[in-house]
Formats: sequence, C-alpha cells, structure tokens
Amino acid sequence: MSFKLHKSAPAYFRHLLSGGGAAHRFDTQFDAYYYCLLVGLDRRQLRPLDELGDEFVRDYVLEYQPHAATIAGLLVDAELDRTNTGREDVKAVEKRMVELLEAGSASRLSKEGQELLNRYAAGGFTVLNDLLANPPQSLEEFFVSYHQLWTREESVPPAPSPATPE
Amino acid sequence: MDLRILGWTYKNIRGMRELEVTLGSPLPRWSLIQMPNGTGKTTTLTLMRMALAEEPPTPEQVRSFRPDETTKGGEFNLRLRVDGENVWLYLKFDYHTGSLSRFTSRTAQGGMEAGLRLKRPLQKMLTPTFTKLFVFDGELAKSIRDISKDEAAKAISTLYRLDSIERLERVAGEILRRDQTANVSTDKGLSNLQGRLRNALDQLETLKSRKKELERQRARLEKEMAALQVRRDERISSSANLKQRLEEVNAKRNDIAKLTFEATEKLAQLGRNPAAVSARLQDRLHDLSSRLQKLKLPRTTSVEFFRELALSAECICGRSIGPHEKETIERRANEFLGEDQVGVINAMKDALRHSEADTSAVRDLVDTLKSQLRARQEVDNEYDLIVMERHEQGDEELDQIQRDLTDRADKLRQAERQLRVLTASAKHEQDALECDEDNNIILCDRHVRERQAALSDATNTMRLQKQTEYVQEVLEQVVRVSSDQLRLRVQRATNEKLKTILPGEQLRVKEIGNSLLLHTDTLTSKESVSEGQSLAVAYAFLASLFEDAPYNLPFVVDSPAVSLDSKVRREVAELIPNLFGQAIFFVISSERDGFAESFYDRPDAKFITVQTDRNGKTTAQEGITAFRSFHSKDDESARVTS
Repeated sequence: MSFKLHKSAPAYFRHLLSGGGAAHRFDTQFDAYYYCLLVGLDRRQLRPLDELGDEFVRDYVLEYQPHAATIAGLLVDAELDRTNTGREDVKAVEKRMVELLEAGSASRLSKEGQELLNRYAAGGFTVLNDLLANPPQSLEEFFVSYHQLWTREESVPPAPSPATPE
Repeated sequence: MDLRILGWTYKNIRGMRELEVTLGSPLPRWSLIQMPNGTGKTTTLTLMRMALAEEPPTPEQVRSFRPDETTKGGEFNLRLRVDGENVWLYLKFDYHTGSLSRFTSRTAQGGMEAGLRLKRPLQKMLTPTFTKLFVFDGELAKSIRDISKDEAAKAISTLYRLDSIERLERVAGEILRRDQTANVSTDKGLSNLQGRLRNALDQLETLKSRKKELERQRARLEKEMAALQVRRDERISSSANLKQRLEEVNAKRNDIAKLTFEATEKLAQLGRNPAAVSARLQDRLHDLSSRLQKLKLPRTTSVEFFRELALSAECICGRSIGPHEKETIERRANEFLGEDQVGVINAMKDALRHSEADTSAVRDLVDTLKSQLRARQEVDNEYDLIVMERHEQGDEELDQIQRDLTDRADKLRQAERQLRVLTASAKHEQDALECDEDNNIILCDRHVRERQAALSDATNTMRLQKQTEYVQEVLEQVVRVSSDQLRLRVQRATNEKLKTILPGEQLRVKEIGNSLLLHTDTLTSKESVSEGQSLAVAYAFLASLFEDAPYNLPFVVDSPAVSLDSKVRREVAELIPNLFGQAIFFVISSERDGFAESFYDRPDAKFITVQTDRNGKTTAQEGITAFRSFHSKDDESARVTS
C-alpha cells in the first residue's frame, strides 16, 4: 500500500509543508492528504490515477493509525453510494466490502481500496483548490477556511455529484 | 561498530610541551577534564577532530599550534579503541613548511602506516562535518539549530547506513553505463547520443545544485529579516512616546501568537478523528453502522466453518455427508467470508459504532482562531502606524532598515519564485511558470530518461535500462522514506528528552527542516530562545540522533554547562550520563557547581585537572581531590561575570 497526493497538491500546500514559509505547518504530508481525503469522500469526488503523484508514505503515520478503521468506513460508505450498490442487497454490500478491505494491510484496505482512497484524496484536493482558490499561507488560515467549508455545506447538503472520471 | 577514546598526547603544541592525558583502564564512562580558560580546551577539540577526519589544514592552521618561533615541529597523538582493537592516530606538524603528516598504528597491523587508516566504513563516516556532531564546542551548541535538512539527512544517512543503499543505486547506474559502452561502436551517431545524455545529466546536476543554493539563500534571507525586524523595534523604542505603544503591541502579539498556537495544535489533534470534523461525516458513519447492523453483516458463519464441515463424516444435524453433499458444501462455502475478512469488517463496524466526537469543540476552536486572526490583523495595522509615526519623526537608520527589509523581502520572493520554477511538478503550474528542461528539475529528469532511452535503444540495452531505472527508483524510495521516518523519529525522541530537561518550557522541535525549527507556546519568536535552551536542544537532538545508530561513538564536549543556569545545569547533568556510552567533558572550575559535582558520587567517572605552573610547565593530575580544590582566577571571574 502507498499513499499518494494529487500531483498539484504539494505546490498548492507548499507554505504548509516541510520547508514552507508558514510559522505553523502540517506535521507531515499526511495531514494535507487527510484534509483532502475527507472532502473527496464526502463529495464522492475522485480523480483518475494519472493525476496522482509519487508515493509520499507507505503506511498511516502514527497520529492517524487509530482512525484507520473509521477512514476505511468512510471509503466503504462513499463507494456503496458511487457504485449504486443496493442498500438492502446483503450480498452486494458484503461483496463490495470484501473488495475494498483486507485484513493483513495496515490501512485495512485492499489494493483496490487503497487506490480508490488516493483517488478520493485527489478528488478532494481539486475541490479545495477550486473553493479555497489561493494556496493557504498559514495553517491557522487554512483551518478557518477548511472548517468554514464544512459548516457552510452542512447547512445545505451537497447536490448529487456529477459522474466522476474513472 | 564501537569507537572509544583512550587518551591523547601533546608534544610542542601551543603551551603544552609534553603532556599525556590517559583516561585509564577500565575506561571510565564519564571523564571530566578541568582546564582553565586559555590552556587549550578548544585546541584539543580541534586536534581531535583533525585526527579523526581527513581534511588537510592550511599552513596557517598548522602554524597556529606552534608554541614559539624556534620550535620546528609538534605532534598530537589520539589513542582509540575500535571494536576492541587499539589504534593510535598521529598528527605530525612541520611548523617550518606549515604541513601536516598523518600516521596510523594499529595493534593488529603493527608499525606505522602513513595516512589515516581506520576501518573503511568508519573512516568514510568521519567527515569533518560529521565529526563536529560528537566532538563539539559551544559554537556548535549555538548553531545546532541551524543544522540544515541536508546536513541532518546526511548525518542520518551516514549513521544509519542509508548511504550503502545510495551506493547500490550508483552501482546499478555504473553497470548500465558499462554495458552501454561495451555495445557502442565507433559510430558517430552513438557518440552524439552519449554527448546529449551527458549534457542532460550535467544540466540536471546544475539544477539540483541551484535548488540547494536557493534553499540556503532563502534560509539566510529569513534570518536577516528577523534580525532587521528586531533592529527596527529597537529604533522605534528609542522614541520615548512610541516605546510604550510598541511594547503594548508586542505584548498583544505574544498573547495572540500563544492563543493561535494552542488553538491550531488542538484543532490539528481533534481533526484527526473524521467524526470530529463534521456532523455530516459523523452521520454517514452512523448510517453505515446501522445499515450493516440491519443487514446482519458480516455474517457470523465463515467459509472456514463450512470447509471443516465438508471434511466431517456427518453434519451437525446428524445426517451423514457423502461425496455429493461434500461437493455442494464446499462449493457454497465460497459464498461466505473468510475469518480474516469477517475480522476486518467487524473492526470497521466497531470503529463506526464508536465514532462519537464533539463537533462543537472543533467549532469553538475555529471561532477562537477567527477572532485571533482578526486581532492579529488589528495589531499589525497598529504596528504599521507606529512605524509610520516613527518614520515621520525622521530617523535615518530606521529608513535604512526599512529599505533593507524591503530589499530582503524582494529577494526572498525572487528566491521562492525561482524555487517554484525549479520544482513545479504539475503540468498547469509548469505551463504557468514557463518551465522547460533547462529550468525545471522534473522536466530535466524526464529529458535525461528520454536521452537514456535513446542511447539504450541504440545500444540494445533497453531492457537493462528499464530494470536499472526500476531498481534505482525503488532504492531511491527506500532511502527517501527511511530518511523521512528516521528524521521524524529523531525529532520525536528529541522532544521526549526536552520534556524532561525543560519541563516548564514546552519547547520542542517542530520540524527538522531547513533548520531545527523550534516551537514553544511561551515565546512568540522562536529566535528568542536562550543559549541555555539552545544547548538543551543540542544535547537532546544529538543524543536522539546517536541513540539507535549502529555506531557507538564517544561524545566530547567543551564547556557543557557554562551557559546554563544552575537549575538547568542539574537537569542536563542528570540527563547526559544516560545518553552516551562514553562522554568526555572539558570544564572550567565554575562548571563544578551544579554540573561536575553531580558526577562526584558516580563510580564510573574520572576526574583530571590540567594546569600550567609558574614555569610554564603543563601537567595533568588525576583524582577528585585535585579536581575539587583547583582554583582558577580566570574561571572564577568568568563565573562572576556570567
């Protein structure tokens, strides 16, 4: 397994990543990945594989390990929706879970699950890039804009997303 | 690999005509060498580093050891034990020609060999820069925070043997080149291809060096700007009526920075739980949990149960299982999940069920951040007003500082833009910045690969090239990921130690980036970290850097506690003994209080006092009595001054 950001994400988050100019920054690149991922999963947005950059880390970084199963749950939820799996269809739901999850993997995800997670993170990145426009200059400013995005959205649930490229 | 220092000898080195320092046998874990200021502490450390790392000194450096104009030569001999074998390193100085000759003598070899001859991996590791990390003086302690990412990465790479993997990468490249050369005919076309590849490789190297240079430039400019800002505040404070307002503004800034830092940290921590980020995400998690509950997923019976059943003679209902039943059970068993699959789904289900989080905590923190950002904007405006008022009062120096600040800010912007051009990886960004293979590392790297492919094509080594590229890519990733993780590990270990040494300060290393970036919630400017704190950071960092390395190295330090207050001294003294296998401290008498005295009761400590008598003769006296009673006027006055 390997985590990959959208190719353009390092440039967009350049002030917040290691070596960037902001006083408060992300602890690791995984932070950037995670914030993109939540948006992508929530909006069911994913991008094609060729938009992904190189692997930046192989396993969950320490701080996120306790939440690996929850993130796997969000992926299952997004995928059941995206693939129009019948809500009451026991076999189809089980099948999709088996395709996405894997016991031996640290992320709890299969190869397909991991690939999709990266694509959702890339999808979330493009949403952030569109909605927040300018590259964030400081972590505090990013947090304010990022959380405002959720608050704003929660008052009006998002419309069903257009078909996303495979 | 284990390296220990057993002792050293000076002959005609500055004030030391003939002096031998022996740490004794069994070798003490802690050696405290008391030498008054000006008697050769720094010289000794310089000589140790010079003996361990092969870097030719300049004639001026050689002559700086000369005791007087009439002495023709001098000698320094460092005695080591390397993996149980005794090794003598000799430095012979010719003061007349300003030259240095090195010799090595090893128990196993016998006799003297010219040059520095340590075991290969050890000798390779002991570069002048690396040696400074374990034979270090106050200067390093002050500058340790400026250790660059490159230097930290280099030290980690050397200590943890990642350089061996890098060597493999080079070897793979060499094999490819050898094969390509073997297949090359004298055909002019092939020579052209090789020439183009060489040019592309040269360009790539140039761009990489340029990137390093720009990163150094950026760090320097940031430092200069910080210093100029301090000077600007000093100039403003010279106006009595503005001084108080400036102090108020700075006090507000400190408060805002503290609150912002706390809220940002807490928010980062809370936000790692997806359920805390948004109520909608929480709902989604709960919905999925209920759905799985309702569908009774995962099914409790696993494929393993039916496979075992198929092997039994009869079913649990008592009916016998014949070949037909067996075949049917085995076929249908595959419709059930394996136990491991059930396990992973249950783990997820469990996480979903417990995905409770208080989203209002995140909301409150965001509100705090919003108000602090507003307050920061107001304070910045207030500050600009003060600068303007001071400017209107007329101050040549302040105007100059302002001009310098503008100049550095412009240069910083330019450096950052050039760095972006060099490193842009996304196509749209490369287009916007007009990147090509002559100014962008990623495109240049691609160009090199194309050139390599063309050459391989012409020399029938395409397959080998692809294999080489694959191997190199994998090895590169191993090095990158390991290096990042080791840096993070060193950072975490450093912070653990800092918690113990500086319990009230909450000073910690935020990042080993372009420098050791420090974070604290009690100081607004990380530049205002005291010398004592810097030293504590240096010890914690170095101890963490070395603690898990496959090399056991001695730790030699000059004046370890001179800049620390007595409370921190005791804490550092308590921490240090456990950090290093062998430590040699060069101290002055004023460091006995708080620092050296904490070693008095340790049986594994040795005390040596080096002093020069009225006739200029320098002697080394062993024992705690001489160590405790030694009195130096210079050192005492240093203590009064400090």
